[in-house]
Amino acid sequence: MERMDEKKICFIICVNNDRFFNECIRYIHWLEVPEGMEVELLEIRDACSMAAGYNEGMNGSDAKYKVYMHQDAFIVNKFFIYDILSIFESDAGIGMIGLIGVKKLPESGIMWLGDRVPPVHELGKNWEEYRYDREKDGLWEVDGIDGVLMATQYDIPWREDVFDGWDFYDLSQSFEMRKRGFRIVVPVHKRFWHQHDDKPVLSTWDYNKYRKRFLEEYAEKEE
Amino acid sequence: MMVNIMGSREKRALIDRLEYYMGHPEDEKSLAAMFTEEEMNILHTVKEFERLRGIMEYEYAESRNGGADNPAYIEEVFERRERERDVSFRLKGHFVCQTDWLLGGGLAENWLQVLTWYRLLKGRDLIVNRFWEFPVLETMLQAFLEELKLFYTEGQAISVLAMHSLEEITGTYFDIVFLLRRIEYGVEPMDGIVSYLSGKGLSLTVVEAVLEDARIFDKRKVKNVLEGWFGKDG
Repeated sequence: MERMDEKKICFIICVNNDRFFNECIRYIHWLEVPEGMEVELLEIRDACSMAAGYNEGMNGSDAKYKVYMHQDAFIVNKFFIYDILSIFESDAGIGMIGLIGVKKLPESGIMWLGDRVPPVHELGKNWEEYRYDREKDGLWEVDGIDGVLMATQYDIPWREDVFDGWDFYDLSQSFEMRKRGFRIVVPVHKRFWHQHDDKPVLSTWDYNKYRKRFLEEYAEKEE
Repeated sequence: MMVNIMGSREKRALIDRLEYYMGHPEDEKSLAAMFTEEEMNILHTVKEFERLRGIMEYEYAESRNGGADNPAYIEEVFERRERERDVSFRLKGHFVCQTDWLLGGGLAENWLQVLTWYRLLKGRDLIVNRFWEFPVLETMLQAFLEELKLFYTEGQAISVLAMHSLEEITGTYFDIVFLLRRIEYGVEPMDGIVSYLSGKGLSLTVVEAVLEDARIFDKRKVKNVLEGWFGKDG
């Protein structure tokens, strides 16, 4: 494997809407950066699928730490980079961190029917003083994470051969990670680390097609 | 500006025409004379959609005892959605076409017609929960109604009339959400909303409607900051 730059974190974003993308990167530029850490940003245009776009981004950066995220997600935890580094550096067995996950994926493969973390919670008081503490707050171990944000410390190819659309690339990647022995976690956070401007609509037109592919690909192979 | 809402012939006409349509859906000849081609496209697609739903109700009547963990039930839910796909996109296309035409006029009466069409779809549970543009439109229609009230009570201008298409409405909505969120999290420039509103000629009433509906957690904080800049009464 090519030597990776341990002092670099790369944000990889598939872009088809500049309004969202420009706001998304405004929050990335706003993040506190640990001394000596370099932040890289890769925007992927005209990707033919999420997995293909992410492979392009992954292969285009030598950063050890990569954050794959949606263009309409905004990281509002100012100390996000510190926090994910504290998690990755504490345990080399952790392959991927998400902000939304499912502890045990239901047999249907539908993440939101499972035991979702974090549970929906209200904004606590004094949230502006909130800081995540890896030791005190801990982690949720999960089967899979939502694609809104996926941070990795190892490069594992995304399955663009199977998931050639915009659904299930996230759970697929979760299973690919776990297949290689890496754990996936969601930090136990008491306030939201991100904002996502998705609307309460169910527009998952191709969802079932990829759900079936996912089940075919992974259902039998799980222990 | 003259806005004839209660006695609006346009609005009454649309509601009356729709009422006739509900009561006489088979009277194609009269309906064709009453509605424009694009309006008929919407109504025909609504009818087609409801016919499809009726067929599916019948076909899936046997498998009702489902549940979220029942594979057959899950499959049914997805099958239904897939079968609705084509007609959903066509209905959305006709709705957007008609909406853009109405908004292009920049008249309050036309916004009331958009509201009527929107309520028709929402009342029948058709596509409004399938495409992200619809919740945004609903928020802006709410802003329009608030502004309309203020027009009558205080003579305030109806600023949303400056938006002339659904695309412009959704773009403006997200611009405002982003600007409000910067206030919530202290991301610079925090006061971007001041110049944005004056540049676009939009009122604080619109901002308040967006703030109410948007995914902004600390609404109180944002509201306090806005009051500091614009005063309590905007």
